[in-house]
Amino acid sequence: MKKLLFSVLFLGMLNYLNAQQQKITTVQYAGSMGYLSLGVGITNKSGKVQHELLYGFVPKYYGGPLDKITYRLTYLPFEIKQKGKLSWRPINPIVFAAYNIGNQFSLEHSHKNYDQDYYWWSPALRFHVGANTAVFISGKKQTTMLYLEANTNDRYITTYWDNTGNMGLGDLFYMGLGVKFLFNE
Amino acid sequence: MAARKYIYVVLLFFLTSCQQFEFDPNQSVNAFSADRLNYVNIERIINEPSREEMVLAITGDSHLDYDNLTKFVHHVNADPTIDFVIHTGDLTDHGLLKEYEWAVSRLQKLNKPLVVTLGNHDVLSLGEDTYKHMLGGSNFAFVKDSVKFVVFNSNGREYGFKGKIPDLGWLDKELLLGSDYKNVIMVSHVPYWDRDFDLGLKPDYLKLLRDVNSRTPILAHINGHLHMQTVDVRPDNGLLQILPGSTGSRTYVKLIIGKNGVRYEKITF
Repeated sequence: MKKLLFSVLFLGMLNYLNAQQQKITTVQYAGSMGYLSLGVGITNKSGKVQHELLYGFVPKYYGGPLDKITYRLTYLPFEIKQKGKLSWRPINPIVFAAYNIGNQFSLEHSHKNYDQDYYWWSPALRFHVGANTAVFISGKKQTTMLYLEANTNDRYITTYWDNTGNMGLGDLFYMGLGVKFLFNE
Repeated sequence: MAARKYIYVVLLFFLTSCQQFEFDPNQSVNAFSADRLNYVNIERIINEPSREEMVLAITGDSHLDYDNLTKFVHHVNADPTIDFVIHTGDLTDHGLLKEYEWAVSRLQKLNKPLVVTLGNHDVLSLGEDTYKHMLGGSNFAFVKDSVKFVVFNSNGREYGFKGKIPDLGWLDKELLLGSDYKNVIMVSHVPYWDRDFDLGLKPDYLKLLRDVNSRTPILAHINGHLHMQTVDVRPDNGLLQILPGSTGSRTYVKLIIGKNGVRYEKITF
């Protein structure tokens, strides 16, 4: 199951490698994929779709130690031109799948200890949705993207759904911020 | 200048909502989580002046039902006879930090002290670390009005039935210690007859109950986990067994400890 998941993600990435695109390097703070995460990625031909693979970690002091691998898809539907080299893409939907690596987390709860469906959810794999807002600064060889991102995940959504009226949007969405460097080939 | 306004809004949001920066849903702590609330509340319980009768509200298995948890808090707050509240565990569903925070923030609206037991769901992921940080150790005891409350981890299945949970050595020591109590109340999440209890330890646990009961009578044996409200005398050891029912079933049990023994009331809210 693990292998299959990563193969699908990897093939998805390869698919874009032949098309004309930009390469991405990402550094992100928080955003539910680590205290700090580092990533690489590519855009599609039009630059409106970004694929990234990120590694994030949480030190013990901040509630870890945790290691996480994340695949993130970002869609950038439209931009508002500002002065000169600046442009603003106000709302860009994201989805990402995040997987905790390490022995304390597994894709499924151990069947040695539990019957099927005793705990039915995956402790290691979370599916997230959200959006970011981003400012683009274009340069000669690269474009810099600064973004603030909000996300929620499968577990929080179901909890929120069961408790609408008792929980607020602040209980649902969590933030991260980061910078991406987009290199023109 | 839409952009400038926008940047101000973003900055303001950033400055006022550091709590919104999440590193990982599985992170065990953050800078804002509560700090060892059980210990703080035990201090409060011990320092409260004694009354003619000691009254406990016993609830548990609140999981992710925050509507009914809030209703429970309101119901208990409106009852001035209650001295403190015992939660028999399963404060969360997945042992996640956010779930701890959501439950604890609602329970902190109680106008009396609260003691929370570690449930099987609460240890999932890094939940045990979160519990240790936000509530305290998973085995603890305190004495109020000559009654020793012994609260312990009985979630055998989560530790692979390796004969370590419940920690009988700790229970043995704790129940031999001190002469400042005449009676005992035992509180844990999984009851000893359930298949999630480490059944290899059951004979020793029952022997321990018999030994303790002959020295310092056990007034009540309290568990959660089964989501049903029953109060009865166990046929195998003659102890008063209390299961408060889940918060979701909108029931709890009031235990009244007087000079001449205990009584109880089954409450529906």
